[in-house]
Amino acid sequence: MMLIWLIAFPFLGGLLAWFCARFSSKAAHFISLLVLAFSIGAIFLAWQQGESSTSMEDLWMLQWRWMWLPAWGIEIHFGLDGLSFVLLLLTYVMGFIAVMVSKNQISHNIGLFHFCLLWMVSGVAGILLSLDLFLFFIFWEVVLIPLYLMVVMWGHKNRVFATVQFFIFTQASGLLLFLSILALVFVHHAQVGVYTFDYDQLINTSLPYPLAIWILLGFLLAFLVKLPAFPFHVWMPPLFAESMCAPLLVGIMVKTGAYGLLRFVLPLFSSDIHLIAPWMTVLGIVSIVYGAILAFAQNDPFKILAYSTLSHMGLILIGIFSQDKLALSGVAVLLVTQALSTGGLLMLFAHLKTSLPDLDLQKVGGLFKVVPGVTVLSLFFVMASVGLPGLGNFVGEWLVLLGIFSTNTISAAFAASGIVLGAIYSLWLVQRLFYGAYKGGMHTTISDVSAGQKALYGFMVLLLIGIGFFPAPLLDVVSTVWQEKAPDIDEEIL
Amino acid sequence: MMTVEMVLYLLPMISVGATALLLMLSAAIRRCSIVAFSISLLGLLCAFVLTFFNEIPQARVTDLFVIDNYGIFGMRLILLATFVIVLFAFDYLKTKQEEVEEFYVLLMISCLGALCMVVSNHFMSFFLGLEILTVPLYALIAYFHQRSNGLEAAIKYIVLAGVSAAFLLFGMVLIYAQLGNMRFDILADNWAPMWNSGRLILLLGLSFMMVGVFFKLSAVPFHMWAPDVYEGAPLPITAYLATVSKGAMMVLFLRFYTQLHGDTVFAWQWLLSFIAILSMFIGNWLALLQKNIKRLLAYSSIAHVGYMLVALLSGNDLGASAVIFYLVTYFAATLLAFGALMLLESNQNESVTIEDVRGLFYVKPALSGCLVLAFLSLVGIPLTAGFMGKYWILLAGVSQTKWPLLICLVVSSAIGLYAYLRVGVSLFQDQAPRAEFPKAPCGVLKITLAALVVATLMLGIMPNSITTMIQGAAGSL
Repeated sequence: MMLIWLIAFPFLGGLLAWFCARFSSKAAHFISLLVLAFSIGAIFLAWQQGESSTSMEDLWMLQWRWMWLPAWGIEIHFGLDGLSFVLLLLTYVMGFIAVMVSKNQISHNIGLFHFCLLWMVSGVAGILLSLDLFLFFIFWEVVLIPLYLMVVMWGHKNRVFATVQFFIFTQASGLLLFLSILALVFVHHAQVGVYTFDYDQLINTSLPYPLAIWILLGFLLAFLVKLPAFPFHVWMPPLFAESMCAPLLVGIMVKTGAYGLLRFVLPLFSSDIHLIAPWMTVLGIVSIVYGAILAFAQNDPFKILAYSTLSHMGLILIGIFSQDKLALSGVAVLLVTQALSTGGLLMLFAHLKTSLPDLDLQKVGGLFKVVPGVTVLSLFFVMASVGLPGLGNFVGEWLVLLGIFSTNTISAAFAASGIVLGAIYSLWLVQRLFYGAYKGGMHTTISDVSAGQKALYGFMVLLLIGIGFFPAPLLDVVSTVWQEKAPDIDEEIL
Repeated sequence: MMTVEMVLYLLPMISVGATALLLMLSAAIRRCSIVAFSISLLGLLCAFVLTFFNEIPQARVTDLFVIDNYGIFGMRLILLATFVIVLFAFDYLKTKQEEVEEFYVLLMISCLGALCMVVSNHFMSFFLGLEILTVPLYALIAYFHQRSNGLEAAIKYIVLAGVSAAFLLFGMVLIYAQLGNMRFDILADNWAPMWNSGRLILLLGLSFMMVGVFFKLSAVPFHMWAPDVYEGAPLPITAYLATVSKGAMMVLFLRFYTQLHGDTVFAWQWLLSFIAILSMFIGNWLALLQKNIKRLLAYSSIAHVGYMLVALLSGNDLGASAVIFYLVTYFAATLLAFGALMLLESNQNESVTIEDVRGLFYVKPALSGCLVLAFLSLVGIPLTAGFMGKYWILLAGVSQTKWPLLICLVVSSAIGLYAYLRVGVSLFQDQAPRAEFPKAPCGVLKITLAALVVATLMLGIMPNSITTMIQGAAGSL
């Protein structure tokens, strides 16, 4: 029952916030924050409840099921485990931060904005908790609606094009995913004689050879579009540049692609994955290098961050398909830290963009004198995303590379090149935007981050440092997912 | 031989026919639009209630009709949709200067034709039903003859419907000449023995019949009339054309196809697959190019026929129930879309374009909510009716491994998505709407729209009860 609330609570809170915004926008803001704070509390409670009630052998810490459409064996089935716990917690935290930051950036339809944001959080919670493939797909699609509204209603000049492109990419791949799910269900039905969409049962299906690859491709495509990986990343840079909700995208949405790969593709197709893994590694390498190279060429900081995300996701893709336990744990860490570091950067840039609508590296520069606070924070997040030792991203990247290296030296070498390239373009970005000579053409006064926001960013900084120095708690939680506890992880880190 | 029992089976049809007569009488005594409106509603309600006294596995009423669960379900669907359209019509006719009682009379007669079609089991009742359905529509399309496009649309419809009916009739004759009977079930028995000797004539007859069927369904390449007529006809009639007129033909065609074991006639299947793919792609593609929302809906309805044909081609029980369910979801979403459009139209502006609704959300959030929900359902976004419908079609297709058709369905719906999305995007753009929308919704229309919203959501979230009903209906085919 707890699990239902983890999904329903943000949604209902969003409705309430929307309603209250008629009277006071402050109230809507406050309610959203309260709801997300409660959700963060609730997920810890759920985790504790699960830990005390289940033994180590259980696959899921906590489960809840109810027959929804008996005619087709479709259930409402939620389950929580280490991976979904970590990502869900991240979702709530990023949602909380996004609500805090939005205060100065959103000026109209405030109630609807909060509703959309919380709806999105609740939809992602649904994606992370669903153990019925039908249900998973429903959340997978429904989460697009608030996102779509948010981009259309609060964004910049070319947002309509960006939205439509994004929507069509995700919808078309989503329908193929659905087709694959149905095919999987039918194969299972042919073998067992029962229609079911239940994850625990479908996982035992043995798929015949050529069909398995097609079904696998359907799953892959949907997740690679969301991840995104080359060549399915086309939707991402315009969306980053045009929408106000890029931080949300990185913080909340992008995770779902990687989650889908980890949760569904690896276990469901464990016997055929080796056929596809080399190709995915190649795709990952291309994403890393291509993303890095294109990041050099951009003048829009948002686009640079979009391509850097593509580059990071390449590493995550390689990590996932190396199927090495170390690499998988590294992927989970990287997902969290990448959301924090790139999300932080995006929020800072969005802050700049409210007073500098024309944020372009050719026109703007030398902002250090004007906004020292933003500069210092940006520098920190850039350092984190580059993988400075002692910060969270380093742990993730290092684990992933270590894992890949043990299985495939060459791909590890290529993957490591992304880190070098990333260092160059990220530092160059900071150099151009904040240092150097102050460029003219900026008549407006630019406000620095306020004290309250400083506290917020400080919290993100602390999280990154915390994960960097003490990754053990995070790794412990995540590694329960890959069945055995992998005791050697802690030793190697120390 | 006609017995009393048989008359009882036909009571819903008789009730609708009697309503038409009563309407004429009352108009002869004293013209009053409220009375005409109430009589139509009562007549339809009465017919709807009467369908519940016919829960029987199967009953043949003369050679012409067969009353089974499938037919009864079809009747209920038609009656409900007509009921909603009468409610629409009431709101629409309020502002018109013309005398409006005949509008209801014609609508009732047309509905009688549709009812006749869904239970028909014979070429004669097929053709008669079709004509009873169609002829009043000629008048209804051109009912307000001052409207700019009304007459043009009606002429177009008369000519094309006439030609297609001739093809249909000729096809029936050819098949009759070969098989010597006109009852669907007997045709099916005679089919196999005659197949080897008279294959050519049978296929020729079948393809001629398909012309008539596809015209009514507005499947590509017989779709040319749809956008013009949709645009020219009064809105309630457009809604009627998109739902009842199309739905009745779909229900009848599904029965015909199943009875004749269409899945064993490969040429027929090829033809249908071809038409389905064309309809899906061309319908969605041309929808992209439209500015007028009514025309957009016309092209989308063409694409939806393509989806339904995919389900029909998937044969077996699953396919049949997928067709019916999709029809139900399509009815709900289309009626909702047209109902919302009713509020946007005014006497000055009869064709609402995408530009006209720009920024509507900020002025009329509830109305744009209805439009968005209707479009989401037509696109097939989860938690709306359209998604469950599409799910069922995909399920049926996958069970018969119709991969090429399914891939076409997926790709073309991605194209269609873009077409609908343009309306959605326009609604939320932050400029003020260009046209004024002075019309305040009357209570009747408000309640109707609310009911349709509930129906669209319920079909998407909790379709359990209707699922069992549909499976029962498809089982009796």
